[in-house]
Amino acid sequence: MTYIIETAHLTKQYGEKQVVSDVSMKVKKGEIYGFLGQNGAGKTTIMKMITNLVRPTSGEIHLFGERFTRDSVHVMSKIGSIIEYPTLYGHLTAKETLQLHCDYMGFRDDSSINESLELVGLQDAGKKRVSAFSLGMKQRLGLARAIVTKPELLLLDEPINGLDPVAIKDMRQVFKTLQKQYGMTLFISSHILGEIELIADTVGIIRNGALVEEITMSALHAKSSGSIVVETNNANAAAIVLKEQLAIHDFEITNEKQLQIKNSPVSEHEITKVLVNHDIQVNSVYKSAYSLEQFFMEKMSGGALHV
Amino acid sequence: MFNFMKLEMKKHRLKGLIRGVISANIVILALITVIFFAEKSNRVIAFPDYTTLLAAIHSFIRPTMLMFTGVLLVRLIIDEGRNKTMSLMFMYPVTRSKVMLYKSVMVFAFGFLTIVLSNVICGAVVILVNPAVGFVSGPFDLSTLSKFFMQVLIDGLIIGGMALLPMYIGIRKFSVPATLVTTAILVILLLTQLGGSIPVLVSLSIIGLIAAFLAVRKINVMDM
Repeated sequence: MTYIIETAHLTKQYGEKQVVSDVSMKVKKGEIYGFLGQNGAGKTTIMKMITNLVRPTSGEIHLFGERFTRDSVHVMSKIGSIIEYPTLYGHLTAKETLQLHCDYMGFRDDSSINESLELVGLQDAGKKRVSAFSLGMKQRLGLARAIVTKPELLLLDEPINGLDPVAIKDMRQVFKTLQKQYGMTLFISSHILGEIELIADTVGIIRNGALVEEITMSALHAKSSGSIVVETNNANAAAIVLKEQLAIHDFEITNEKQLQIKNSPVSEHEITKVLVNHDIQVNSVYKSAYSLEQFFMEKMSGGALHV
Repeated sequence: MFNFMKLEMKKHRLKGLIRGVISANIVILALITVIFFAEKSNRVIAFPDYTTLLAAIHSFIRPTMLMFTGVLLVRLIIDEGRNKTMSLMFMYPVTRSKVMLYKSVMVFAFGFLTIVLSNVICGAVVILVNPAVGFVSGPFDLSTLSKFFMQVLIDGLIIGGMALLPMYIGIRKFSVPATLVTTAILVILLLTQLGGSIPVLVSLSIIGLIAAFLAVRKINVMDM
């Protein structure tokens, strides 16, 4: 397995306070890695250490299989990033911003400027000064700048903050395109769990500076099997039928119209049939998906995993 | 290095600053002319010889260009730190020390070049128009000129170094006012008697270079 980012016991201490403690994580080549955590959990600090902006107190970082140090500047041409928020020069136009960025990065391919403006939906704003941009447009331009040099690794810190719902949907598409068409590895931090759930292949959860979980989304979804949700007009009546006819006892009435069966011995089909036969209205019966939000909340509260 | 400097010039729109320097040169020439005619109406000869005339021009140019160089220092280093665009610079495939070194060299070179070129341009203008205006009635000789030019070169180097002194103070909190106030203090100093003392100026210039070195070293290990 090729890892694009690999950290070992990464730690950062400011005075007495340890903001990042002993983080060892692995980001695979070509995946979208969702990096989750509350405000102040240490996400940005970790991303800054990966981009050489902050020096680790201890621990190691390997990028592209190579030990990353303060002098490994050549690696930087393979990385695109937005850290904290896109820092832009207000007096430049969008096109000038990208052109200059390419020049500094030593990247020569002028066609990619229009290409990346188009990808983020700023094709008509190329000649507009950045100071006249809205927050959402700045966010998009920041992304355009991060991808204009076609980097192998894209580090995005809260890239969908400040975007409207339509733009968020666009971005989701952009991230997928970058991964599928350009083979980029994306490392995205976010608070918006629903979005990460839709795009990530792996998630890392950080709490108080420590990595509490690193799990693939498929492994996370596999945890959900076994629980069945029944929606009906009368949960109490349904409960009696389940107990008496199917001998199901391990369930929970979530509200008067819904109950959840844990480790059901019978299929959804069987449950529906029996309920309908006993004249109980069934609105829907489905396997409950264990959502990223649920998982995240459990990790945050420090609780054990209940499925 | 030159490619980096060219990009920096483009990014910071330094053409505007250069236009400012040119305007300042015109103002200085105008001032010299005003002084000449004002004194003439008082029946006083303002500039008995070329040495006094060129020295007068130079004494205007020196503090003016130091101030312009202070503005450049703010744009290239202090503003970038304050607006956090410096962290963007530090994610380019160039080491931090090189980024900072190139920027410092630009500040130094700007101070040096504006002083030398402004003197050359203003000097050439007054010498060329002298037959028509009659600033100086005395003779013109090349040895005066070369002696003066040597002094300008040395002063250019001195001011270039001095201009870097505010950097150390400025990068503490990336404060624009702190940088400009320090530059202004140096400008005022140039206008006092101390401004004529070579040992004082040379010491300040050396302190400036040391300050720049320390500033670069500090930024090199700074968490952005």
